[in-house]
Amino acid sequence: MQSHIEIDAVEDEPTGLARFYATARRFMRNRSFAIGAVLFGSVVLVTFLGPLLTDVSPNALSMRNRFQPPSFDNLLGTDNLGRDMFARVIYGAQLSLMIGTSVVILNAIFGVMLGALAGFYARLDNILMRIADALMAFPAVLLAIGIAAALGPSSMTAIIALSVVYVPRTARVVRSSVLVVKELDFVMAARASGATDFRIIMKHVLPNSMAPMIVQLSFVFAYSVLSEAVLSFMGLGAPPTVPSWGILISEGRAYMREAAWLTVVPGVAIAITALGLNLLGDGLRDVLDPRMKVEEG
Amino acid sequence: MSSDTPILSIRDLTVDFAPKSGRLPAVSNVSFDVTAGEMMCVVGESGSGKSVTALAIMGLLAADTAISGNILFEGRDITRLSRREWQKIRGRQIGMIFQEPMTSLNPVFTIGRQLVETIRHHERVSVRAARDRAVELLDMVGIPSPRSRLDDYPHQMSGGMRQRVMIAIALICSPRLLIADEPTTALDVTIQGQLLDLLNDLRSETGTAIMLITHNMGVVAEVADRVTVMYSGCVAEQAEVMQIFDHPAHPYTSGLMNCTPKLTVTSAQLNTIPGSMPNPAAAPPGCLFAPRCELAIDACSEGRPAQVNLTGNHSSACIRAEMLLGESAE
Amino acid sequence: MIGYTVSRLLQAIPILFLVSLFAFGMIYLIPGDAATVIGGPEASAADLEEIRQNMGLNEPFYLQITSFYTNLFQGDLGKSLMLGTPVLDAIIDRTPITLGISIYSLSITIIFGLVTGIIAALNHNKLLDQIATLFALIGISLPNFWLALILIVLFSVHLGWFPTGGYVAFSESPIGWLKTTTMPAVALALLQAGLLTRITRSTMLEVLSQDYIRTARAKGLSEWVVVGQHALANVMMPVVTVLGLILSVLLSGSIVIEVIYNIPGLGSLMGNAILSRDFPLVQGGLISIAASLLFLNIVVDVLYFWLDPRIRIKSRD
Repeated sequence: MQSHIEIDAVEDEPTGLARFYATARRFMRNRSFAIGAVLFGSVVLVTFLGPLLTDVSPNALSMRNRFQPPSFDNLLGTDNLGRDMFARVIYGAQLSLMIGTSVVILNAIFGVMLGALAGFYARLDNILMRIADALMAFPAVLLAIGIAAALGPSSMTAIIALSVVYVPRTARVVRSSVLVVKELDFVMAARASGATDFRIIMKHVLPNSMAPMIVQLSFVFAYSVLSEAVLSFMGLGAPPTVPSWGILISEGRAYMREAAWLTVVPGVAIAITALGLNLLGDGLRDVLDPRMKVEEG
Repeated sequence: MSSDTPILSIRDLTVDFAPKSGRLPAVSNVSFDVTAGEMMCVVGESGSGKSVTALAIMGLLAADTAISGNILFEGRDITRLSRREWQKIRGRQIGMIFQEPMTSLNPVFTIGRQLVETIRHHERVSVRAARDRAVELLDMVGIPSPRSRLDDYPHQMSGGMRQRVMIAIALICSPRLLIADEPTTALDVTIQGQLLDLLNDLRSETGTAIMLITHNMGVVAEVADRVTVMYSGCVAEQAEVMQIFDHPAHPYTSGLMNCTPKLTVTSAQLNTIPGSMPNPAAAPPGCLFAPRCELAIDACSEGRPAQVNLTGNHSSACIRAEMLLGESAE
Repeated sequence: MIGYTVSRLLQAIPILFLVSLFAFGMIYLIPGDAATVIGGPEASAADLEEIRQNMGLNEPFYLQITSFYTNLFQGDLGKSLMLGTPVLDAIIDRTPITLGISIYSLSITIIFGLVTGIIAALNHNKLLDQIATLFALIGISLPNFWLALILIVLFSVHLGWFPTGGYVAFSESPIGWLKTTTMPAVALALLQAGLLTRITRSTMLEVLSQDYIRTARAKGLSEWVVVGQHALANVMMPVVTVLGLILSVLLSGSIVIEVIYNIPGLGSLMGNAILSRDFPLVQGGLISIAASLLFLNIVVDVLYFWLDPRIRIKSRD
């Protein structure tokens, strides 16, 4: 087995880059994926390059410049305390992407682990899936804000709450593809030749259940961005001193009449991010496995 | 109308799903006739364009498909009909049965409903009268205790029974032409025979012409009056059934006949035609069958061969047809 | 049919048990002393003691859990800290309001989602399909609480068509009810309508490619009958199965939407309970909402079972 991998690696090396381009071209030819990649890519770019474009701190007060509409000096205007909205929205983006990424990573780890265990061991399956059913019986956002209320508001709370909500859903997706893959001939053959369960899961089952999981994770990312905004809007996510997108909307709410951009801008930022991720998910689904069904919601 | 006038006459039919791609069209320059009351078999491997031809006759191809040539039904060109005019022909003057009896009936409606809605769509009758008629039809196609089966759903019937229901539906308006696209392929052998007998009986009773699509020369031998052999979207050979079996004038036809298992001959293995149909994206320049043909000569790869009229109704698209005929006559 | 219903109800029992266990366990997620968190910084020692007494926090764990389940079986979900009334009463009181808005919103969802999804599928890959797909995508990507605020700015502040918030009971004034519930219902419907459009579209596309649709056309039936009867009957079934999911998403949304529009329904009750750390109310709310959703899902499954002859008759034979 060891030598087999080495041979693969040797063969791969010269064609690696070419293969990467070929794959990239296949993905970019899918319109959903291409638009999604551009949208989400620009959100990521602005998030990380943004701090270089503006030297203003998101919390710098300027009482003289309160409620400035968008202008050259303040690209997205200023708020009730004269703070620069562009800097604040970019800070919010960092927070949102950080929380989304964390939830996705936790989903990848625990969703795959629990899904693989449930799919592979019928006895565990029953218990794990009943637990998942119970967690999924609660409306997603209600469960998240319930957990967040108990843990107390913080970004960590948001990450934990959203993971508890979405891990069962990811585990279900992984489980159902594991159930299919496990019956395939080459897995049966590996089993017959005496490979351990762990080895079969790592070498055969997981690589072959990757496609639905990747699609699911891109949707989880989108849901996380949206739900985190709800949590922080309700005061259950990031503390109020941190300009997360939900908090920006909640602060802007009081000035909707005179300074609508304070509410509009962070909402549009959320929408663009979620739209990009949803399009990415659709595109991945089309390209990776057109017949696949991912649980929505 | 004398019995020799064709009720369906296809001239130079070409169907192309991707006209600008440079790929081989699904059907190219196909011409054949179906005369009233006859059983015309269209034979070929899957992918030879037989089903596409049938769907073109029914007007059931996707709207953006490029179709050229003429399909004359009772002297009228139906390729240029509006959707509404098509609907008057379908089901009423041309009926069709499909290959998959398991999926061709709507799973959530009863058999009765699917018959009754068709009857009432074409004839102004009461529900009660339509149900009586449905019972008659089911009886005619040999379904036992038909009245009690009316309220059954398709999944409660066997494949053979469902195909009988499909035939009953197709026969509602006593169409002049019935297109049967591999109606027995998905069924087991004994049921196949029963259904072919049924189709043959119905034809002699009602005078409906049948265009039977199949890949099985055994079926052809059993029921056909005339045969059209298709290969890669083109017509390879056309003839009366006796001529085809006694004097095949196209190597592909002979190949197909050799592939049919014969119960009388004990042979150790099933014959096959080596190779496969040309890739539509990279078709050979000459005769499309040449790469698989044992008799191919250099001239075969120079341009597509045209149909050559041999004796009477017999024609072939092989440049060596005369030679082949000469051989079999000896 | 009855056998199926009973077996589904039996399957729900372990899930319900876990649901209640999670709700019960929520209190143990609170870091440090639960009473201090619940009471807040201004609570006196006596207040804290009262909270502990009220919630039984002084009791040993096994007593807490046994009394929780004893009470639960008697239909006693405890007493709300902020309202001082029994949790169950508060929930039952507020439910009709949320139910009314949910039904309103669900109707918008179903009409909009089904129609757009079907139109999109019938015009596959054409302009109308692309517009519908885009609408659906925007629907599932816009934060609904943000849409709620934007609707207020547009239709209350600028146009003055609807009040910015509040609630008028239907029995008092149907017009008043419509005026106060239309914006919340629309804001709530957005996400589910997007979901339903996507599901309807993909299901319809699959159904339209089936052999029996070709048969229906070959029979000469009009396109209206082919799509409106033969295809739709088959599309409805998978769509029915997502009703439970849609209701769950709807209840999720109603928390923040009812808070924004100041509607005294179940959603704002839960929202306020969470914000004021009224844990007995949060626990009770979680249990009763999850239980009703489970029950609704069973109803939907039984309905599906009844609608689909393939399953119905197989089980009868």
